[in-house]
Amino acid sequence: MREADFGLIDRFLRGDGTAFDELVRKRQREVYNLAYRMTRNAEDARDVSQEAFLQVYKNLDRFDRRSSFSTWLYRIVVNRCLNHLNRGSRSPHRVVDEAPEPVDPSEGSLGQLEEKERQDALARAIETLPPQQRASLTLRVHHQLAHREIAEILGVTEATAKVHYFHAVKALRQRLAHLREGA
Amino acid sequence: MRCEEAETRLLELVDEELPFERRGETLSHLQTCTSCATEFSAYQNLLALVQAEAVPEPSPRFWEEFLPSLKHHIQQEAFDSKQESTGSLAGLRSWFVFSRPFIAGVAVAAVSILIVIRLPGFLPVWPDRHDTPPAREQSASRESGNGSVAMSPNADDVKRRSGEPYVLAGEIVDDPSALAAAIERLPWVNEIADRIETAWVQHPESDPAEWIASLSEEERQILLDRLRSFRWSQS
Ligand SMILES: [Zn+2]
Repeated sequence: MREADFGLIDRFLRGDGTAFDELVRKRQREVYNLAYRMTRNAEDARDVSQEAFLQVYKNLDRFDRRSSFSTWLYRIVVNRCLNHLNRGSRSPHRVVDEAPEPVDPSEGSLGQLEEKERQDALARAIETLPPQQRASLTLRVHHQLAHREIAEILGVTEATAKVHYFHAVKALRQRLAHLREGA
Repeated sequence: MRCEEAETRLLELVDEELPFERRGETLSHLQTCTSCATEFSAYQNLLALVQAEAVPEPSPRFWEEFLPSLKHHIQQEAFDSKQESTGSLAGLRSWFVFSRPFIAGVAVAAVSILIVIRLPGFLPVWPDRHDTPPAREQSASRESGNGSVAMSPNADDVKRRSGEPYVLAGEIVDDPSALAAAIERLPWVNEIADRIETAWVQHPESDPAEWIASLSEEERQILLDRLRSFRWSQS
């Protein structure tokens, strides 16, 4: 994968524009998914993905290859997402600041909830996570990256990346406590 | 091992990051402690739930348009920054390999449409020396400080008589194809041609007028200003 990326980059830098097309097609879905999981909004995810690839295009000749291309790419995507989130652009499809539903043990376990409600509860909980924690969580769980790589992407130490991740998991655990039994 | 100690290790255990030497004793504790085992299983279930959370799949059209849209942004960026000689533009150039006559032809069409259709307030000067230009254009010509006036090079639009040469930026041009080549040598034409090529690649069926419409108001003004700075007259 890494060699293939570098090969495409070499071709692009030699003037072969189709190599950039291939690079985009190869990576567009993972970039979009990461952006969506960060911004929780399809339009923002699209904008961030486009901006990220534009930035890749402009800076590919400066990519020093000390990391894998995907690490470098993810770093660009996450930074753009953090900018987007800090600017507070579009609202997510659900209200971010909404407090978690009050926990009422009599109100039924996860097994009794509709699938949609379960997904909504998870989504609401994820939206309450600070962006850095959200990034650590999705890079770990959905992109299966090592904490060391996540640290590189976030520009923090490995220990800090781990702390972000564990805080995220614990926070979700608390917020979804009322769903515990069926989960 | 006490429960408090086990609890602090559960997340690392789920995450498969618990060092080997602590792993065995923590697993042993889980076998004998229902409370910690329940907690451990809750974390596992939570992470499975998170992992299963799907990103809503965009429409197939979204992916069809993703790369063309990105190229449009890149073209726009290149146009805006006008950094023609940066290394990163090398790849961009090779995206569109067209014959030079095509580029020139498109540029001619673009200039014609730009002036005649999209900029109604800016009328072309009649190129035929034997015809009397409309009064308004004469006045516009007089008012422009350096006497430079843009006009449409499209023969159909301006009813130009065939065989009569133009002078374009000091160059004598006697037929439409040479005129196209002369336009192509103007420094800004590559930009407009690049832009229109992109539009053409993305939507080959579309009307050229729409390509021009894709220019922003500011870009149209820039083109218009540049156009004004070239002297177009008959020999
Ligand atoms: Zn215990």
